[in-house]
Amino acid sequence: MKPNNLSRRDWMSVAAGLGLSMSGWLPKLAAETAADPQRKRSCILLWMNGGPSTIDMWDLKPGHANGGPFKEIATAAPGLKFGEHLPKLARHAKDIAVVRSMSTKEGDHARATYYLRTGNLPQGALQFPSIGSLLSKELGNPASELPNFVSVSPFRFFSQGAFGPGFLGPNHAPLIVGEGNFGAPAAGDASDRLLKVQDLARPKEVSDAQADSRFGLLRDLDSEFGADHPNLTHLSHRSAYDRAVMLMQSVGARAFDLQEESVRVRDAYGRNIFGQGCLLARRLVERGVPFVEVNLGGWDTHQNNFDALQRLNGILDSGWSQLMTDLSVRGLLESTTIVWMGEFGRTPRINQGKGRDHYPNAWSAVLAGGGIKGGQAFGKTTDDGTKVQGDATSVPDLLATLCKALGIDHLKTNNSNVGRPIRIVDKSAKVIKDVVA
Amino acid sequence: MMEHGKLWAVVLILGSAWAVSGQEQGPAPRVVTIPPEQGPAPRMLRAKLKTPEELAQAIDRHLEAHWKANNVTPAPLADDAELNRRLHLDLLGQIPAIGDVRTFLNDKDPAKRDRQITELFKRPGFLSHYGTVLRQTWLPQATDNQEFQFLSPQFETWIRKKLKSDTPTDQIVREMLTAPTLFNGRRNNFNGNPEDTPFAFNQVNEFKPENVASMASRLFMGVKIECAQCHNHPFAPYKKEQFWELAAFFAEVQPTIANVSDVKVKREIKIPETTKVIQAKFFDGKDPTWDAAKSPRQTFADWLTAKDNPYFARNFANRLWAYFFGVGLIDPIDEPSDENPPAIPALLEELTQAFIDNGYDQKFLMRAIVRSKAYQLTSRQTHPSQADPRFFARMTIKGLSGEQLFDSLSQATGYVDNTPREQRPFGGTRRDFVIKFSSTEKITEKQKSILQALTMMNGRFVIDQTSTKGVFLVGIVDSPLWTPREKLDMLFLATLSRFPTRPEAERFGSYVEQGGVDVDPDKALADVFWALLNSSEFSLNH
Repeated sequence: MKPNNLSRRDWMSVAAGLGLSMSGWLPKLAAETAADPQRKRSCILLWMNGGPSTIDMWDLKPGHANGGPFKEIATAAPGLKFGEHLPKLARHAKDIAVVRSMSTKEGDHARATYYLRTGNLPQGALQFPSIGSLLSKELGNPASELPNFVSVSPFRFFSQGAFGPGFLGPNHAPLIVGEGNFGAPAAGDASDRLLKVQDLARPKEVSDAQADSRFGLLRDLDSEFGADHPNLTHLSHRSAYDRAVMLMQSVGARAFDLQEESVRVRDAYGRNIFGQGCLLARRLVERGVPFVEVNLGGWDTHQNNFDALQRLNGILDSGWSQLMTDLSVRGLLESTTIVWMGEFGRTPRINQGKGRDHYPNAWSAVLAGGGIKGGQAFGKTTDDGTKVQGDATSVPDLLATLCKALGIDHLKTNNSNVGRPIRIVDKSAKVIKDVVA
Repeated sequence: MMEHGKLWAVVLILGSAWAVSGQEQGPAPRVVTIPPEQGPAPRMLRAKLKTPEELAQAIDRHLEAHWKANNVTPAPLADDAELNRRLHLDLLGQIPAIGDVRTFLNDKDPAKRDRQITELFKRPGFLSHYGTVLRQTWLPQATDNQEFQFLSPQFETWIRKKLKSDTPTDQIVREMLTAPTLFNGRRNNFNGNPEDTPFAFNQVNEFKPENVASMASRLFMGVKIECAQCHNHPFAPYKKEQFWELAAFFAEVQPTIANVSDVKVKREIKIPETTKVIQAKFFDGKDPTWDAAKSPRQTFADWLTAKDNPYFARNFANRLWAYFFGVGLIDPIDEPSDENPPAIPALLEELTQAFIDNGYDQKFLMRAIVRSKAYQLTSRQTHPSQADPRFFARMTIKGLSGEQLFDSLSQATGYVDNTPREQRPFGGTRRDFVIKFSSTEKITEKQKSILQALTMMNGRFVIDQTSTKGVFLVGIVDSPLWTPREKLDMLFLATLSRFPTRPEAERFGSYVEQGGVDVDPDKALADVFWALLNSSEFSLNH
């Protein structure tokens, strides 16, 4: 854990709620963030729960019975083609690398979710951390006023553990805004409400002065208790309150107020929780948050795959492409790596309900932005889409490649809850060198 | 997160820095352990300890010898209020009601602590709480994994029935390790009433022999060997084969093997992704004597719970100690090795033997431990030598489980959950709160998250309960009989289960009298109530 980073005196001034301009408190503007020589990279995970039909998006099979009705379109990168419902992303193709050789063996939602999000299959009592916790721990500043890991509308039902900090402990837990759902994302004004930090705002019935006064009382109680009860749990309690109060009072927390953005920008991202989540991700990365995940559900298309895909691609295309545009304009795309994936792909064979079923054997994941050699597709599947041709890419391979793009040594270890050190990514991983810039 | 050693180092450093001034700090002490044969009385010659009181005295003798040998100055005994709150949290899972605090504090009987302990064990709240504790220990997956959360209520019901009928622990464990595995499909379609069996144990372990075996070893032998599943253990002498020899006893939990009629198939297991087939063998290397009438799991359970088994009783005694002290006599509790010897070997032997002699009765050990001096010490640090928790020279401070925290909040605020009982496992205020505040960390290292702090500070539940219209608070502010100072007392009793100290009475009393920022004594009381519920003293067990 992080023992109190703030001295007691700092805590008192924070708690006193005077809003003193302590150094490091002001939000870093995007330009400063980009120019900051100390800046480490950021990572944005676009998590597609349910298992997206990548054969209809990134690795089409035109002319084959498995191909379905969608057409390929050309992109800004010569020779690289996407599905026809991703036209806006096609314009960013030079910054996008499609990994077409994913082969992951696990076709159960819960286990595959855990696998892709932690790099490990569930294993006895070991609580593997989600990749967000692992990477934000490496990239983040433990004393930063904003949390280092923000998760936007996760749908955690399949596997709670896959979304948590596991053995890294609560200091590496995500700050979660908006619970996701299995089906279509919330649209319209609902997303504004959902994307707020739960309980961040002080309730209206408690005035500023009253809140200050309450913190003063709390500080006195806690100081008294702490004085003769030196103890970790007490320190963790204080630390969480420090950070919570800091977040409440921070100017950075304004990142969560999307109404600061113009109507034009907000419309461009798409008025749904995923699109607005991408906008939030941009606002957080601008303020130096190293890991943000944005979730989009509804991909479990056992029936009517193509209708659902067309709709979901529209949502994905607007949110993601606008995110890349905005990051690029701000000079942040170079230092922000984006990874797009779900827990598996879907069967090349189209079933009788015009759907596709779970298929971990051969599917695509996507890497984009900083540290990635874009404009290419890595790996290849057979003409019918059922097998990977040549070397397959495993889950550890993909995650190690992401680490490499972010400048993280994937072989570094953390101590686990069972006492044995565990690497960020398993040592069997092979970095895909062709994809890393 | 830092490794445990470093975490403790932080505490030790802070501990010494914060210790009462004027104490000289010596060099790091070397722990002196007294070998069992030189303990207060050699085990073989000792008469059986027939009452918890006798065992409590034996515990005291061991600790006093240990403190003396290591120049440790133990903290003084906790006062009545501190002990009463601790007993309620440990035995009933929630803080005491105001009435309980007052009655206990006013009681002039010198034997009142003993009487209170006897009384608390008889309350229905004990079965309810300790059932949850055992479920949290034995089915940690149901805390972590939403997929398995629905299994908690029925498993807890089963445990409570066992506890209520005073089923000996060896019997409970035998039932768990031989729980039904036959299902139509893998989910709810169990033939019979699920609350009558501990079938959930196999289900959370996904009907995999290797998972069930890992948990059985860890929970009931105190030996964590799952690393050996894939390779020889790097730090301990466990071989990969040893793991699979153990897992072979559980081959039949796999639904496909359960129905095979060839008994030999049920006594062996194939190591996945190899062609190697391993025969079941006990952990001490001995071959089982097979009995056609017994399943391999029964054979294993009989070996495990035999009186001369070196693991079972010892591990259970250590776990019970760790439950009350947050730290085991062997700690970590499931990594026995030369580097992890018991802190006080003779004490662990004593507890183990008493557990066996008294029919594997958990309550016997629990009654003895809570009567011991070590348990009744204050949690305040009064001397630097108390900083290392492995000396048990002051009470360790423990985090609260989500259940303990919510139930204590309800107790303090008078909140009543209106969710219908049968729906509570699946929704409602308590469940949402418990999920948000639950974790499977070690209780002495339980960490709080930003979101948890925000929920406590700004969340609807606490804000509503601390408004002047809150169920409990409205009764206090509206009471015409009490002075502001008496009202303040009530708030402290309701939350911290004690009266305010003199400085607190001054500070908070004058705050209330002056009415806080709005010059409104009622609102000022609400402010104090809010601060008390958010305080670290409230949210910890100390």
